[in-house]
Amino acid sequence: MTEALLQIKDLEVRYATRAGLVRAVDGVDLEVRRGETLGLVGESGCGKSTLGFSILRLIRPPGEIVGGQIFFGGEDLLQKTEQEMIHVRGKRIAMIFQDPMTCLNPLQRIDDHFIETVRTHEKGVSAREARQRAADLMNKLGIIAGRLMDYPHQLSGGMRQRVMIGLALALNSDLIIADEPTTSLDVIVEAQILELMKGLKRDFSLTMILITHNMGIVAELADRIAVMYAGKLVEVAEAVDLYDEPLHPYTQGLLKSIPNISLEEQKLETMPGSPPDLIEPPTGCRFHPRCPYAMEKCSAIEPPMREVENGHRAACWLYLRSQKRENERQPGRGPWP
Amino acid sequence: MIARERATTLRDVLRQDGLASWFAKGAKWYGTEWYITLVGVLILIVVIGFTLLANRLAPYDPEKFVGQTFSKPGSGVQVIVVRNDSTDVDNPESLVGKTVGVEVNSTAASQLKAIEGVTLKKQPRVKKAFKDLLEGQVDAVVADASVGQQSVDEHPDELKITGQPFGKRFIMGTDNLGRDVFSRILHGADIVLKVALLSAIFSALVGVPLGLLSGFIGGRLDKAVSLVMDSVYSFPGLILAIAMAAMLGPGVLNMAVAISVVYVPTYFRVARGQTLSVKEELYVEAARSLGARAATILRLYVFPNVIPSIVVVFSMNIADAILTEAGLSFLGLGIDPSKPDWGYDLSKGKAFLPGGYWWIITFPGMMIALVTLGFALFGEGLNEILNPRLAES
Repeated sequence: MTEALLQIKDLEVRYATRAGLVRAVDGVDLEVRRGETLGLVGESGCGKSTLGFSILRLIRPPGEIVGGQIFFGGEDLLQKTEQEMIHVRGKRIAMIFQDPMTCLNPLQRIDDHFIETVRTHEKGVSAREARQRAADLMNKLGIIAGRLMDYPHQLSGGMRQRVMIGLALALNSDLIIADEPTTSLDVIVEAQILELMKGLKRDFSLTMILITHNMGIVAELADRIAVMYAGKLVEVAEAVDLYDEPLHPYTQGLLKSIPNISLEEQKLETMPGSPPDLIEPPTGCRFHPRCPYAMEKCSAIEPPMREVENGHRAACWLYLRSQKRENERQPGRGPWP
Repeated sequence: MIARERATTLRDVLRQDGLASWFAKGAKWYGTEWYITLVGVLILIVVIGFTLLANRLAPYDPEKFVGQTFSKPGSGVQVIVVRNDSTDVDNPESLVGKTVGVEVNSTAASQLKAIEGVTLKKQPRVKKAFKDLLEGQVDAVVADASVGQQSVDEHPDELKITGQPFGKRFIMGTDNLGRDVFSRILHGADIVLKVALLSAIFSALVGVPLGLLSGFIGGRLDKAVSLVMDSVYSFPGLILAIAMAAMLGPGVLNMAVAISVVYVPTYFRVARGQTLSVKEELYVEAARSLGARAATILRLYVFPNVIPSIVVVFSMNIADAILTEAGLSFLGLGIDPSKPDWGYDLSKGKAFLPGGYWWIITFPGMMIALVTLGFALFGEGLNEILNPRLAES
């Protein structure tokens, strides 16, 4: 469990826009262990999808990966040529996209998608074998093999997402990046897909990065959770720890803003303010303008990522004032009002 | 995509309710104006039928002088042949071996002298020549048009003017050289269609791959190719075609090449624009994430999406190319003048319109309009079928 399959070091991704340079991912360190599901959460525009795309080097101009390293199975993906990356994409790392409605080529049958994907990477496989493999896979995903002959528009959104998942699984990739896989589905289908992914996680012992803004989904699926804010990681922890005891004020805010039907209070807590402009991010800690505990230090110096408890890392001055006072801190929901 | 969904419903309708019901619901098929396509297709079938069956349908050889010749209004005196028998022979050669009455020193006499084997019986007055004809002493009288007409009017039962350039023998008349307009139209369709089709194919073959590559690769290549294409596009079409045709010289192939140069940018623009939009689609991104190569994306994702637009442009382009072809040959930049060609016939015939010979330009002109209309309707209909979003908006 502890072996790191993917190790991201100090990754920086920028988009050159007319308004200026957008630092979408700014010095992120992250590792994904073999067999685990890492939930990557954060608000819209915090850089989590960009992070996912940059692992496959799918960032296109005006975006650019300007620094850092991405080690995957011991090799730095950022040093590979485009030709070498083709053998990584799909074969070793696969991706599931946000919007299944537009992810499939409307002019190709479903089985052609599978045949094309399989034969791109495994030259010796015949179309018949590829189709058979697709049928087996579809069976596991709960779609009858007959639907393979359909065009994408003949499938429902949920079925299309199953097909996308099937395509990602078709080559037994080591790592699957799921970029908000259920965002555009309705809640019933979302529940089905989540159930399916849980099952697959168990059966295939998948290693997965689950990108989402939905704290509920990560709670269902993730083993570990990384919270991103304004292009930076603010907290990384085992899922249980994070839910039990969120350290970073931002994480606390996120968890507070989940509607809970069992609570008596009718008013939902919301975080004041909105995510910062990534062209000119706030100095110091990027969360300080919205943080209820902001200190002088916060606006001046950026807090480093430190391990606060066993395997629970956070970037916040609250926990860095002194390691000595660490033990005095009251356990509980944290200092959010 | 939408087209396919509708195709499914159409199939369902057919399966459930049969053909009669399909016709009842047919008006809603693929938007509103599917029958426009039908009209276009019918016109095209007729014209293409003409081309294929020209040899059988045409009553005369389009290059042979089968009728009476006549000259431009105002240049010289018109001559007519008058007979009293039923043999309806028209061209001057048919008078060989016959005795022909003429007036001394008339235009007719001098023209007939040129033909060997015609026995002339000269009379001092044309009235006497007609008297000979009525008495059967001569086989025919050749006279100036005005005098001849007058005599025929006086004896409508016995005499008649033969070689009428428009009448029951020539349903669309003959041109000034006595060639049958109907036969020329039938044979002319062949050349017009050939040139238009070839030029459309040539420009598609050049424009589409250029547009695909330019849009897909982008960057400097895109800028450079687009610049060239835009400058070609900014030329007035016919002027450019004239320049090209003048450079290349006459001939079917040269004409097709000259016209195709004009239309390459049209295909380029459509293919490039479509490529640019498809390139940004999520399913292309998804394919890339699964390791698809650039060539695969171009072949399986971009190209099939470009085809429907290209088909529409193609048929519209043929309609346009027909007009350009007619324009070129109207200006004499077409093919060998003896070969039947609508545009050329139009330009030759226009000089005779003031003399009342309306049929020489009317029928080729109508054909050009008809074929252009056919292709335009067909293209418009296809556009509605293949791009139904256009019809819905």
